[in-house]
Parts: sequence; C-alpha cells; structure tokens
Amino acid sequence: MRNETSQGWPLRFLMALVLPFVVLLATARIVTGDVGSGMLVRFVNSALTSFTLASFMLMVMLFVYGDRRKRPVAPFLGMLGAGVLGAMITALFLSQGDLLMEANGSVRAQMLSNAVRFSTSLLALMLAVCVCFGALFATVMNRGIRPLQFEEE
Amino acid sequence: MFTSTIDQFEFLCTLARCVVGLARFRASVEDVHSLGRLFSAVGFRTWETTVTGHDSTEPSLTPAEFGGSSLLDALHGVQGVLASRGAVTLDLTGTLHHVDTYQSAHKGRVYMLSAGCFALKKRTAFPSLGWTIKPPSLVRTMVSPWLSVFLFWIPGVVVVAGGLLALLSKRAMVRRAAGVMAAVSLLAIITTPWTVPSSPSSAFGHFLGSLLGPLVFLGVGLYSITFSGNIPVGQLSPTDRVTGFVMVALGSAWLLAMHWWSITPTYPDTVNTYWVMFWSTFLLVSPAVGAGLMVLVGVFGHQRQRERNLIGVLSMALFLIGLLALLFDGSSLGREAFGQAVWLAFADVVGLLAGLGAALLVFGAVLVVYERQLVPPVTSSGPSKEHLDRVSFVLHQHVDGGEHDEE
Repeated sequence: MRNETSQGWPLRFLMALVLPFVVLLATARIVTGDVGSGMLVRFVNSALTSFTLASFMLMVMLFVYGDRRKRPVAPFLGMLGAGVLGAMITALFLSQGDLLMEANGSVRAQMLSNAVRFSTSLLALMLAVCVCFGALFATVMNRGIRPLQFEEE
Repeated sequence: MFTSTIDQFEFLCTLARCVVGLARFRASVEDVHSLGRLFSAVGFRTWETTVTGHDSTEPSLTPAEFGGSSLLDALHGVQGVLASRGAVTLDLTGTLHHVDTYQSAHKGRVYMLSAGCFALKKRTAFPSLGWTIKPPSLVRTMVSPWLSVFLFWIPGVVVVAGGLLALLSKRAMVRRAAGVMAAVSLLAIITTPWTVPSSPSSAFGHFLGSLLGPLVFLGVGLYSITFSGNIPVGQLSPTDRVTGFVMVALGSAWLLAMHWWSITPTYPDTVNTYWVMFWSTFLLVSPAVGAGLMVLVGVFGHQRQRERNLIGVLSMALFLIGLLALLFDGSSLGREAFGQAVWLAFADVVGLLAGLGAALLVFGAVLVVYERQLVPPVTSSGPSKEHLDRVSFVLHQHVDGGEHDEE
C-alpha cells in the first residue's frame, strides 16, 4: 500500500541514491585537483573479484536449493563453472603485464590483494546498510503505541 | 625464474662492489632495497616489489661470517621463492639467457635471502659484496607463506563458510559448531599482526582488530535501543535504552576519533591501507543508503513522518562527516589522500555491485535453465462420476445437517 504522494517515487529514490555520490565525488575532485588515478584498473579488478567470489558463495546456496530438489548436480556444476571462469578471466587479465596490476609483485599477490580489498569494501557496505536500517528499526520500535482508528462506514 | 635471477644477481654483485658493497663493512638488507630504487630510478623496470626490511633486533652478519662454510652449508639445500613482499627486485634486461658457466664442483651460486627472497648458496666471490643476512629470520621468512595460509587464508574461508552454516543449517549443533569455528577463525585473522607479521595481509587483521571496538559499541547500542522499545516479548528495561544511546554515541565518537585524533590505525609505519579503504567507502555509501531509505519510508510507510525525518537527519550527518573529511585534514590522513581514496572507493563499489549483479544473473540463469529441463509432473485425470456423487453427498450432509447422527 503506497501513499498518495508516491507518484514518481522511483526517480526520487534514484536521485536520493545518486546525489550524495555526485556531491562527494565533485568535492573530492576539487580537493585533489584530479580524478583518482587507477580507477579503471580498480573497477575491473573489483568487478572480476566480486563476480568470482559471489559465484562461489552462490554455489553454497545451491546446497540449500538442492535439499528441495533431491540435490541435483547440474546447477551446482553451472555455478562452479561460473566461478572458475571468473577466476580464469581474472588470472588472464592480470598476467597481461601491467594491465590490471596494482603495485603487486605477482599475479597471485594481486588476486589475493583483490580478495582482501573485496572483503574490506563489502564490510564497509554492510556496515553502512546495518547502521541505516538499525537506526530505522530503533526509531520505529521506540514510537509510542498508536490507537487504532476505524473509518466510519 | 631462478636462472634469470641468478644472472641478475651476478650482475648486481659486480655493480654493487662499486656502488654499495664497500661503503660499509656491515651492511643491512635494506641496502638491496636502496639498490632496487637506484635501478628503478634510471629506468629499469621492477617486475616485483623490492626487498623489505629485516628484523632489526637480530645482529647482522659480517661478510666474513656470512662466507663461513658452517653457516652456508646448512643453507645449501634450501630453495624457494616466497610469495611475499620481498621478492625479486630487478629485471634489468628482461629474461637473461642463463648458461651454466661454473665448471668447478666447489663453486656454487649465491642468492640473497630476505623477507621473501631466494635461498642462499655459497660462492667464493660473495664475501666482498658487503651485504648481510640474518639466519633466524631466514627460517621464519621461509615458513611464513605457509603460516599465512594456515593463519589467515584458511581462517578467512572458515569465517565465511561457518557464518553461512550458522545461519542456514537446520541442525542446532551444526549451527553452534559453525559459529564457534567462525569466531575462532576471526580471532586467528585478528592476531595475524603477531603471528605472521611478514605477510602483507596481516594489515587486514590489524584493521579488523582496530574496527572491532566501535563495531561492538554500535551493534550492542542499536540492539539495546531497538529492543527496549515497544516489543511484546523480551522487552529490555529503560536503563538499557539509555545505555544503548551512550554506546552508539561512544561508537560513533570512536570512529570519528580514528580519523581526526591520534588513534588512526597505523600498520606498520603508515596509515593502514584497509582502514583508508573502509572509511572512504563507508562515508561515500552511507549517506546514499540513508537518503534512499528516507524516500522508501516516505513512499511505503503510513504516518511515518517522524521516522523519515530521523533517517534524513542521519543521512545528512553522515554526508557532512564525509564532506568535512574531504575539506579538513585528519590526524594522519590528509584531505588529498582521502579524496584519492574516495575516488578509488567509488570504483570499488561500482565494480563490486557490477560483479555481484553479474553473478546473480548467472545464478538465476542456471536455475531457470535447470528448471526448464525438469520433466513436468504427471497430470492426473479429472474426478469420475462416482467421486463427484460422493462429494455432493458429503456436502449435502454438512450443509443440511443430515439425517444421521455424527456418531
């Protein structure tokens, strides 16, 4: 059930998500005088690492799915293939010289560094979500009991 | 890799005699690091990181001591390239063609060992080089890659797997055991600055340990505030509510102090890289999450103006903290460095979400393809006339009360 003022809410929601990013990044641009170097490299590393690790974690979820379907092998193999493909693509790009290397000594060091950076970013994202949702629940639960109002027929 | 490095090192020997080797009679391992920077400065690419420091508490060896056969014989058979920070320093002319020019059985080859370098063998020309090593560190650095696997990476996998099992498993004993294993593994990761200090990943353990305090305060505080409200069962006391507010305030102040006061996580000599990543990502994302939540509460909530305003205030406060961090220097982290970190955090977040989205798409596609391949269930034939007559008889009895007793 939505409020009467809910028209156009997807656009407002999108603007609410994007606007803080834009202002903070613009301020960072003014302070540093330049866009951060190595952004594309970091983006690609982060995308490949998150795809690979998420594929392996979703593969674990398939065990729960398998309980309902008498443990089929096919989807499990599918996600395993996706994870392995992600790892292979990462290793392929990292081995192409300085294409995706970030001051790490070897392909293995860069892959391990990517995994740790992924964990750090994920932790920050989870804390941001938990703080906001935790504050919301705290305010909702600490509101006084409202009397029920029945509309007159 | 060994053979090309041997040639590189032999080239280094001759060059070092003129540049570094005779400068001091007792030279530490960092001299190689300096030499690495020298070659980098004149344009020779470094494929890998240069040698890092050694354990300063142990006395360094003189070249004469180093050349002693009793020492080197013990190390003669040790070989291995360690995947840590101190690996091969230089790639002078690409991969050199290595030809075994040593005809004598008495001559061996000398490599240099440091935090993550090669094994050491004996060479008669080495004592004039002037570099030193420290044997106890040598053994420790040779073992440290395996230590980091058993004390960091395996516990990392156990934390994730144990956490998932603790949440998803149907059996209580499995959930309890998985939770205990995850907690022990987390402790192992946090103690890596002491157990495997030579591993670069120990900085992550230091970061987690630094973050544990404020996270506990924030989590327990929010829990106390939430469950001291209008909860029908298990409501906490009003005192817990006050305690919750105090803990949230302390946790928030702790996080702010880690940026603007003297308790910034530092490991080993500079600000912890993972702390910078975490803080920039958190301050970049949290205002957006708060603002989006405010819009959703306004759209889907009914008479939730107060809650919407409070979330809006929280979002604005987090946004202002991020803005202040960009405009004013922290105690150890300048605003320019923080600004760079914010840009990289943006790339990290976008990449993370893109990768997660792609993985979820693949997950959905795998399930759809599998479900479509399943044999559809056998459809049964419709009810027969006898079934319909029986059903109508039973319905008639229940609706009309029937002529028979229910007994």
